[in-house]
Amino acid sequence: MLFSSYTFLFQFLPATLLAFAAARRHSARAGVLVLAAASLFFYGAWRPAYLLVLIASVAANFSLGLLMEDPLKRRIVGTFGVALNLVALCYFKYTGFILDAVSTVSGTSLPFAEIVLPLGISFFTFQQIAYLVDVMRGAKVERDVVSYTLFVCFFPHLIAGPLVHHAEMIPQFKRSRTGRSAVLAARGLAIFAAGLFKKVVIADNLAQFVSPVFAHVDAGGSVTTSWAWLATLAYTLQIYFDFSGYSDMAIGLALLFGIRLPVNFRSPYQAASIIEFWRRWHVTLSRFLRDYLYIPLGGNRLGKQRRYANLMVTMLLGGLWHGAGWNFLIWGGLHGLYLGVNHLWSDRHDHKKDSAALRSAGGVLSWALTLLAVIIAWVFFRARTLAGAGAMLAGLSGFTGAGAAYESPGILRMMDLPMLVGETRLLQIGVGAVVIASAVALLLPNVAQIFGYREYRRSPEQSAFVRWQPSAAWAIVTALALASSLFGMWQRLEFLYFQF
Amino acid sequence: MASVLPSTLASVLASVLRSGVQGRAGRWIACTLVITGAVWLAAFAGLLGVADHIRVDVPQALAIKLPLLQSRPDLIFAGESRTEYQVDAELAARLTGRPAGGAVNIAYDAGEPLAVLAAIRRQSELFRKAHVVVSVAPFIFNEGVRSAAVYPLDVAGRLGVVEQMTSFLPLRIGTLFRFIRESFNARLASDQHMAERASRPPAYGLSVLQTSQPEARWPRDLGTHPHYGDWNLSGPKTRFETAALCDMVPLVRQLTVVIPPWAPRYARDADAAWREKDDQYSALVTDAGRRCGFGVLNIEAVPGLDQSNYADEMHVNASGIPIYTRYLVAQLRS
Repeated sequence: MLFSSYTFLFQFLPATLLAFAAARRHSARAGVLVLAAASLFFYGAWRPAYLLVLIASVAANFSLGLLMEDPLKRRIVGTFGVALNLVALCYFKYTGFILDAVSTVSGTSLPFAEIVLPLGISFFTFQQIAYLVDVMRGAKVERDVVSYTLFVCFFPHLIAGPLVHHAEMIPQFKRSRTGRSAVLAARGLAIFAAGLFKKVVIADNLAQFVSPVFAHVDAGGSVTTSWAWLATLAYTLQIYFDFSGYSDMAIGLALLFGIRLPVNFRSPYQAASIIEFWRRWHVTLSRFLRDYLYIPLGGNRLGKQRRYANLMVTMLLGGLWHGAGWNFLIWGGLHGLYLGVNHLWSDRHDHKKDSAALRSAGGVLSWALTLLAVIIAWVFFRARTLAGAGAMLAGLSGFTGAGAAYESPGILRMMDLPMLVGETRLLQIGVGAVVIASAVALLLPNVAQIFGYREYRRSPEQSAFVRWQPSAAWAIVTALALASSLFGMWQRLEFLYFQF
Repeated sequence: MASVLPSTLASVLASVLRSGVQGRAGRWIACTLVITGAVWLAAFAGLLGVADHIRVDVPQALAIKLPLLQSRPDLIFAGESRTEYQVDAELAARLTGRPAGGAVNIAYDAGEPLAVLAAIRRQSELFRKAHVVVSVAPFIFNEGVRSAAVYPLDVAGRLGVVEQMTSFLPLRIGTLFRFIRESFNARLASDQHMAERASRPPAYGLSVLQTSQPEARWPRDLGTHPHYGDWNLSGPKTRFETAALCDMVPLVRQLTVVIPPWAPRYARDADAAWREKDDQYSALVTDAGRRCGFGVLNIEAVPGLDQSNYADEMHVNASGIPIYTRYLVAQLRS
């Protein structure tokens, strides 16, 4: 059940909202029970058999948490639990990749494992690993199975994040009735509308400039420079609007129930360095990788060389988290390299000594270099084959490879409604779409800023200009976003991050 | 439980009417949803208007089969799925002594006479000397069938925006979604000159259903089958589609309208509801044939075609194709 589906919007969500409202009138715990039940139903609607995987994962980790109340068993049980989670994740996500790699290296033919990846397994596994690690470090064990289940399974974040932390979720479930439910819901509705618009109207319409071109190079074809740049830039924007749109929808949906999720995107393409990029892109994953991988590896405490090695290991594993494939590994490796270079530069260059003009020019150059580096890395992230990535990079560099160059049939699809415009006009329209989407991503404040969103126990996000308020003008803007998105929903394109 | 919902709704309504920050936020949500509905309705009407404006009567599903006409066949099987999945045009050509390509099958799922007429008008030279055999089904005439999958789109296109919206909203919105999408697809096929430039479909247009549906999916009887649901033969479907059959007559050498059979497990004599509706619809087609000068072939059963030859209640499977085709050709020749 996609957030951008009619079934979700017109059946599941209203029914859940009404049931939640009725339950909350009784007690906060009843509301939590309703949300937990609805979340399990939401997950089971995709493939009931995999609901068992989710329930087993929740039950196992909850039980392990209880066992860890005994200080003598805490470390061993916690270590076992983390290993168990990693084994399960590896089985579902990496078996095929590992067998394929072993086959390639050994030259033997191993059986092909076709294991269906349970939706969101990377998210709910990581969240529970974080919980076990924190309990090992002395955090309080959660004894309420319903609250724990809801922390893991709360449907707005269950499938594609944000990756939530138990310490920011479970306390919210235990609060008594909030006196500001309508205020939160109004803001939630507006944020949801913004996210839906970003996903359905912007990202899904950009997909037509991406998918056929990458499919062509993955199938052994080549691509002209103009199509290569259009496809790569369109993908750069598509993945941002798709994923950040999903995160916005998740945040908005959670607010409808009075729950605050963490912000996942803070205008990442406005970043002037790779370090800053990772503070703005998929913030909750960066936070997880930092707290549960980079720092335990030693972080920057063991010398500079060890820091670079830790960064590389963290980013390689971060790449693999996204998917079992060499392309994701290379993508992670590139970002590890970028981060290393960035730290090296920062260590050796003191910006304070630069003049204001130099700092300004340097800022623009840094931003452009950062964006270019990110764009190049996206080629590996999007291509299904290394040869495809190579062909796309060749196209970006002005070289056309050996295979037949991509030729578009010249069909424009607005909200999936086709129109024959010809290849030249389609390229022009694509460039226009990329320019408009770039302007939104680079010049406007992000959704959290516009809506003055406040994370749990944090102060509201600040915005230099344009601020949402429950006014007539914002009602019209929100209605326009919702209404236009409803037309795009018949496209039924999945969220890009569902595959991770 | 029954009292929980009204009391919850009342409480939600009360929060909207409340003064203060909460009430203001509640009113904002209500206003936003109302404006969304209004904007959506206006935009939807606009989109239907655009679809009406750009659409052509030859849908994409038919356009992709029209390249078959490049072989200049003089026996053309057209209509709905029971021709698409049941008539082997290659076998028909052999049986009638025609060369390969002398008979073709341009039928498609939920195909309607209005679309065939549009194709005839667009490529009149190719149809003028042909014997055109068009199959029909009850849902093409029964106004009670309004589902998205089978509502004739060329009929929907003749209703106008207001009638479209009042007829199909809110519960049959899917039919209008399909109408909009197929209108754009039909225009695209036309702009791409698919009929002239696309490659010819394989097997002279025959599609094959290889397997039969599981026992649990067979309808209990046909009197309550969705194609006979809310039986009504006095709506725009009947008006437009019978007129289209009549309009084809002067444009082709010979027109035969076929009413194909249902699976033999269904007995007409034991199902009065089905028999009554089916007789009405057969009479409607026969009467139009008498008035306008086309032949009607009402096939209630085919000798040798038994239950095992059927994929579902309407369509034969691969084993039934030659049996049905031979019988149909024999009937056409007699």
